[in-house]
Amino acid sequence: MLRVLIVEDNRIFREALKKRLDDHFPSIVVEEVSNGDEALQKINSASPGLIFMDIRLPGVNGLHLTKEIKKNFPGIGIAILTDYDLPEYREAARQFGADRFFVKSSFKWDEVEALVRSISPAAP
Amino acid sequence: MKIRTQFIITMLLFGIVLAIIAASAIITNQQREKVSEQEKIASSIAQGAGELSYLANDYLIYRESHQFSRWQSRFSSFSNQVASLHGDKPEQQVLVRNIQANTLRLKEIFDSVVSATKNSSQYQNDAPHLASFQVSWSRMAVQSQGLVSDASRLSRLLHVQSGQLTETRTMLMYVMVVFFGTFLLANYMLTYRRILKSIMRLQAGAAVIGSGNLDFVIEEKKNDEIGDLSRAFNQMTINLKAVTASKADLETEVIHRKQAEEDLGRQREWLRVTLSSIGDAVIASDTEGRITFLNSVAVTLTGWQSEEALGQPIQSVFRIINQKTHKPAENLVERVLREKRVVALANDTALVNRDGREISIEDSAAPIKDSAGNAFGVILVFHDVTEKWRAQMELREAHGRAVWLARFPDENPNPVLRASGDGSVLYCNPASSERRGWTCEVGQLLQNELLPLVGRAMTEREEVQQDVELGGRSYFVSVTPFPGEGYANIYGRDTTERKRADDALRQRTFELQQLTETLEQRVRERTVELAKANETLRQLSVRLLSAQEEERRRIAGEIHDTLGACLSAIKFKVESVFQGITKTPSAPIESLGAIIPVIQEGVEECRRIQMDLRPSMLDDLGLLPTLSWFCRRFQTIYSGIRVDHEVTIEESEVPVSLKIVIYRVTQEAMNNSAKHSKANSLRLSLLKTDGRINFMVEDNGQGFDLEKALGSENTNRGLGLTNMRERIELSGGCFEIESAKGKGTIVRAWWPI
Repeated sequence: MLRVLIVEDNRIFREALKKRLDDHFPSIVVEEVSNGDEALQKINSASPGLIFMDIRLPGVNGLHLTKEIKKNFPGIGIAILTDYDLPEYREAARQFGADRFFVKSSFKWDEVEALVRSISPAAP
Repeated sequence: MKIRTQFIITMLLFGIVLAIIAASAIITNQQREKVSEQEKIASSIAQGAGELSYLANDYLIYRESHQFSRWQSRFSSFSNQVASLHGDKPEQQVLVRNIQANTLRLKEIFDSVVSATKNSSQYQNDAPHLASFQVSWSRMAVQSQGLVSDASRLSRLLHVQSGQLTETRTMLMYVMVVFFGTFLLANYMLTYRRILKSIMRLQAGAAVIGSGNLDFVIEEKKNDEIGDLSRAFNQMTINLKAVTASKADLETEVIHRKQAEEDLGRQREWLRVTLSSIGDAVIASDTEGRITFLNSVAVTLTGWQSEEALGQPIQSVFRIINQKTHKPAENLVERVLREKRVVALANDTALVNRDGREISIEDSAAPIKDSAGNAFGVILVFHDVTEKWRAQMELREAHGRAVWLARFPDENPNPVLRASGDGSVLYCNPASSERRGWTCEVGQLLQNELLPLVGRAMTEREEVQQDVELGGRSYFVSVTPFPGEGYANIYGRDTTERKRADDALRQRTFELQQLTETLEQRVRERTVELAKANETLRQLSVRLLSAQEEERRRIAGEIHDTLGACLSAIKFKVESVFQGITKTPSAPIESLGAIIPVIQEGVEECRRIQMDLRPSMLDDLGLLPTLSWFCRRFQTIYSGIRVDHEVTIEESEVPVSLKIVIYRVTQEAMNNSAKHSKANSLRLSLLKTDGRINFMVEDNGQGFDLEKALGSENTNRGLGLTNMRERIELSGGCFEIESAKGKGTIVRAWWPI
């Protein structure tokens, strides 16, 4: 069973994304945290297969967090969430080791689906 | 006279008399024997003379030589006998001399006869010869006859003498016997009369005393041994009488004794109370050093209770040490018993009590003696001298302090004197006698400079102070009078140095005043400048406020025009969807889909405004991506200007605080250039060289009059330049702008890292 972790401090967006994922992929487990420390704890305890990572987090930069997670758990897929669809952001996400790059205001759901399936072929 | 002495004297007398008598008898006997021997010699001489006569006749008749030699030998023995003869009495001596003379003559005659005989042998029977022979022969006969008669007479005389001596000897024997008898009689009389009678008298007296009459006194007549015995006997009687007291005496004695015991008890109680009440501690011990008594003060000082201490060795209760060395002090009891006299304790002695506390004490120990003077114990008397010592110490300290205080004026480096009312010196300290101009000695008059001051102070009865020049130095002299005591104290203080310092100070003050005036002038000038600068600052502040207001107005306008319009459009569209749903339920899906681009536009606008205010990219990604993004965006907005940018610094080398400064300066410089320069090429560079960050924005525009722009700061452009400068300088950097009409503009800034 695929576990997905959402790391996002904005409650409204976080819950909307979770609902959307739950509705779309009933077979996966979606968990959510609001800051970096909780994220690291969750990773250690639940070992998710995929993480949606916001850049702006309280006290920590999501990109740096991504780099750290990738160093310790290279098998976890990480998708960066951002407000800005700018090449600088894309380049930064790539440099820090993220697997995907999603712009919050224009979520491409087919890409999300493809990503989930690539990680967990069992998902519908 | 003692009997022994009497006896010795008697024996001595008897012995002497007896020895005299015996010696007389012996001498008499010897004389008698000698006389009888002489008598024998005399009779033998008489006989010898006859023989010689006979032998001579033989020779004359026969004229043979052997007859001659016989005569010769007989004569020699005869002459020997004559030689050994001697007389004691005058008559005897005359006879002896006659015999000796006759003997010599006999020899002569015989010799003449012999020689005549020899001559006549040739003329035998000669007549003349015969005649001479007859003559010689008759002479010889005469001589012989004389010798015989003399010798016989001497023999008779000696015989008579011998008889007399024998009689004397016999009489002496009688005398000795009689004397011995007399002595025995006299000795008996003495012993009987003197000794036996005295003893009998003593015996009778002893019998009387023995019968119980102790009052009897034996007569003591003589001063001999018996007398001594009688006296001893009498003394014995007296002693016996004293010993054998009567019953009544004994009862009285018992009463007396009880009385004495009660007295003794009272005395002992009194002694105990006395010893307990005295202020000194008292400890008594026996000769073994074991405690027999200690009073209450001793209990307090030693910390031992009386009943615990009794019987203890004195060293364990009365533990004393030398306070300085902390070694145990010598055992006093032993020393007292050894020296048999009072011993005082050494100084610095401390008692260590039962709790281990040390108490300074003074002490003496004395032997306790009985009436015979034998020590049967030791008594220790001591008291706490801690307070005394402390008092002594305080006294010593007080004395030391007094001495110390007395030195006070001597230690004063300034002159201190005391002078009597008439101005003669009573005291001067060493400083005053050492200083020049102050030469003064006790008993002399004060120097002229000081004399009137003393006079004035004494008259006015109050302190006089005055500056006085002495020995080339300045002194501040104060004279304090004590009119009641009749003297005044003079205190001088050397003020030469201070005066010099005062002069220097005055000079400095004058200089300072001048300096102050100059400074005040400058302050006035600066104040004018400051007021001017203040005015400028106020204007700047006003412009800053209006610029801020302008910025707010712009943002509000933008939000109103874009976001507000978007949200209003969305609202209309959603309302029409709701209306549509009620009329035709199939339509809404498409209508709702049409809303999404509007929302998307609103989101984009929102993001743009946000990026204008402060690009979140600066915080998310850093300065370099942000500059890159800004240039790209600038390029899209101002497509007529070609933008180059060169960055040779690493993101991590830019201090975080500088990032917003560099971004804002870039924004300001490039926007200025775009708005005012009409340039078609612009170059941004951010380089790291020589340990500093170099920033530059350069355009090829028309440039501007720098003086004018900065001088008239009421334009927005001037404000922008000022903003840049302030931002850069506040962040520790330097700012430089280079521009001239038609020559483009270069904005430079650099920060040390």
